[in-house]
Amino acid sequence: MKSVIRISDLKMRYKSDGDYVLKGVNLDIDAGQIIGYIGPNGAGKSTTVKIMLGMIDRYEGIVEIFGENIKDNPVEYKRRIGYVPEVATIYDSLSGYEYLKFIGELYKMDSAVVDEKADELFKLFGINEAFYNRISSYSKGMKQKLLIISSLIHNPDILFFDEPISGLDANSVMVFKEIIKKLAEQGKTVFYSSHIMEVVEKISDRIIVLNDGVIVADGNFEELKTASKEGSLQDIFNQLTGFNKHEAIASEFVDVIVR
Amino acid sequence: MERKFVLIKILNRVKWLFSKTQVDFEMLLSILTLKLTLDERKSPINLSDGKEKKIKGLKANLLMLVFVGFFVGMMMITPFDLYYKITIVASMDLFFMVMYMVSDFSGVLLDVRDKNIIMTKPVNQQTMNAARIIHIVYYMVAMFLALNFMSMVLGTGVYGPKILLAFLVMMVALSFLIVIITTILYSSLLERFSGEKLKDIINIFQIILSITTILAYQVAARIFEFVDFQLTINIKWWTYLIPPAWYAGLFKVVVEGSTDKSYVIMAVTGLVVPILSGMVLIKWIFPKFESYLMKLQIEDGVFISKNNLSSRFKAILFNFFSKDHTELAFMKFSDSNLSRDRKLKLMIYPNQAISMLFPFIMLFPIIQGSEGIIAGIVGLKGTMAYVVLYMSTMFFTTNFDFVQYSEKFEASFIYDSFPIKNKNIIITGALKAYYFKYVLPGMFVMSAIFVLLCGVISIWGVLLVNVMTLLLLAIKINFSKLSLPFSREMIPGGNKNIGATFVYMGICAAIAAAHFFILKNNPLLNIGIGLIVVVLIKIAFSKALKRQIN
Repeated sequence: MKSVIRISDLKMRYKSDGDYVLKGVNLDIDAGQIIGYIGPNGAGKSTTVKIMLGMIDRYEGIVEIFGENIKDNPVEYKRRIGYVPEVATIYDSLSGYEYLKFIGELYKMDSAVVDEKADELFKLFGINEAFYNRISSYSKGMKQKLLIISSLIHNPDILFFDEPISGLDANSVMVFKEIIKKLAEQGKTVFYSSHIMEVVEKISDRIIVLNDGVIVADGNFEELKTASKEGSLQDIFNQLTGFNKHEAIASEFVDVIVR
Repeated sequence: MERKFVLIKILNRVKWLFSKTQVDFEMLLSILTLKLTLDERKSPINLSDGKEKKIKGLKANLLMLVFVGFFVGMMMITPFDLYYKITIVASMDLFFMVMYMVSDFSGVLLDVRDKNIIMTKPVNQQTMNAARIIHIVYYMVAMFLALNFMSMVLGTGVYGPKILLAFLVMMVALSFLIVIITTILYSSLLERFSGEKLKDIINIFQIILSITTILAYQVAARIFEFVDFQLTINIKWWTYLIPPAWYAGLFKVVVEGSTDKSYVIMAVTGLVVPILSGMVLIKWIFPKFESYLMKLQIEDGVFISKNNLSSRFKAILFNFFSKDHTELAFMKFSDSNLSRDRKLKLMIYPNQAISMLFPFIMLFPIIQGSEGIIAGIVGLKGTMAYVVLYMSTMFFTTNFDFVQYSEKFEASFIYDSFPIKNKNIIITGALKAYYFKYVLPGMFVMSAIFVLLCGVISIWGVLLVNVMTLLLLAIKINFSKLSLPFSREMIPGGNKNIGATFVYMGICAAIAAAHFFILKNNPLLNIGIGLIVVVLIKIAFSKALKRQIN
């Protein structure tokens, strides 16, 4: 199968004299895969995603999406990409309906199609009563649902989800996990980054662990388990990122509290 | 979204302009419609005057500018030389447009959401830049027309339609200059600061703008009664360095057909400088803009408590005046909130400025009545002009209402989740912090000025005003049902009790009148009443606080 995302020797630093945040990342991702992209805070996960979305263009290395270097044609590939950012930035004085209309216009979608899809998706997520309300009045979960809808409304082929389920209730999380599986069955690639190991462990076909700007593990859950001889993704993660002090820190923490 | 805006209709007519560029016209319209919709829904800067705002966003700001421009426009029918008139008009334009650009429009110029939302969609950089530039130009033209509406109408009446041509040229050149000034200002700020620091600085600009606008309201109508214009024009070498003078020169050349060498030089400078600096801007500064946007997202507010003299003094003051440990905690808490909540500061500071300005406005007629300003001021010695201090008192005490509000009012859940037996302690803590932060310093400055103006004999009377301030603060709280500090959302209007406010104002006036007619400058009477009031304060406060307990 042809790869949809290919990253070679990606390096990135924010200041020209600063330290590298990404220190040479290589990736090759096939269509229809669900990639769990994990790593501790500051490992460079969001930076990688931002580079692929064209939000950062001062990187070193090559990023190819749909077989084309994104520097050669920085616009068209975005038509087939959906994105749920980690921090919910949104023009929140618009209503949910207006926001989706705007997003639809940017994707050059037919206006009637946007109307129809938006209406149905809102209903399916059970937030249709807020359709014409200002986004600023939405709860965290509603905002997240809106962001998920807006990332999918144009039927993209690659999805970047950065902590997409934060604020969703347990039932909505179940629905969303199922949506991801169905999307992958449609041949879509899902790039899922999260700190919630249980979810990543369950849904991912392939797990990539980033630590300190380099990939320290890459494979499906079974492979990772065999390689590290650990039981859960959480344990594997701790081992890979060299973190084994959680018990010590926790007991010290409680000691400070009860002192 | 619905494309109802005039700008969009105009752009539709000139679609051909974009056909040769890489700008995606349909997307340009979508983005501009979004931007204009957001502008429309943004609330205006001056949230503080309590009236229900029907007109919001850009329109409200423009109306404000028309109002300011109205008074300056009156200049046009005065007999002064055109050179002076335009110097003043252009100074006003420059000041207000730069201020609005920095404080209000900055959110548009530096919207980080654009990067996260629009730039992750198939939109090219050219389209985004075109949208940004058109949006700025639109905003500038609207501001310019609003500010100069009156000047243009009256100017056409006095000088004929030729003046409109001069205004048109000035609009283009001045807008350019303002964008450049703002951008340079921002770039230098962003070069040095990031995130939180920058927001603080923008906040300061917003406060300055609000105060100046309010000053303009109050002072504009009176200014001509004071200023002696010299009718001979005196051009020195440094005159050539003042942008408003360039445009005054331009008007002399265009409207009056002057061929005077200095006017021609000014007019040419006024055109060349914007063009040249515009070229520098596009070549050197614009390319850096995107990376500046990134800096805005960095949060770097570090608050390490300093151990300098003023903070030690504050610590001693707070310790001395707090009833117990809990109240001390809430004093410190309120003090930090009052100094950091940017929206709250934007409400309080302009009102603080009014409080300190109003007594002087009250004095205008008195000073005016005598011969000249200096004579008028000297004439205040030995009078009881300081009773106008009660104006300050009235405003300061009323402003305490603001303490109820906060940008993050939801955080007030802590009052419920903490084991606080007597919630009054939260109010008294906030009250003391507010008094030490705003009322006391404000009254101190005002008192000092009035003792200077009215002479040493007034010192007892001024002291009594300060004691009365405390009593009036207690009375004011008696009149209102306050929410706990920082627990209410800032919604302008809707929650002011007009009736009670009027009664309170009446009480202030009655006390001032009694002071003026009965106590006079008699030291014994002033001290005696002062002592009685001190007792009353205690009673009034405890009564006021009983009212607040739910």
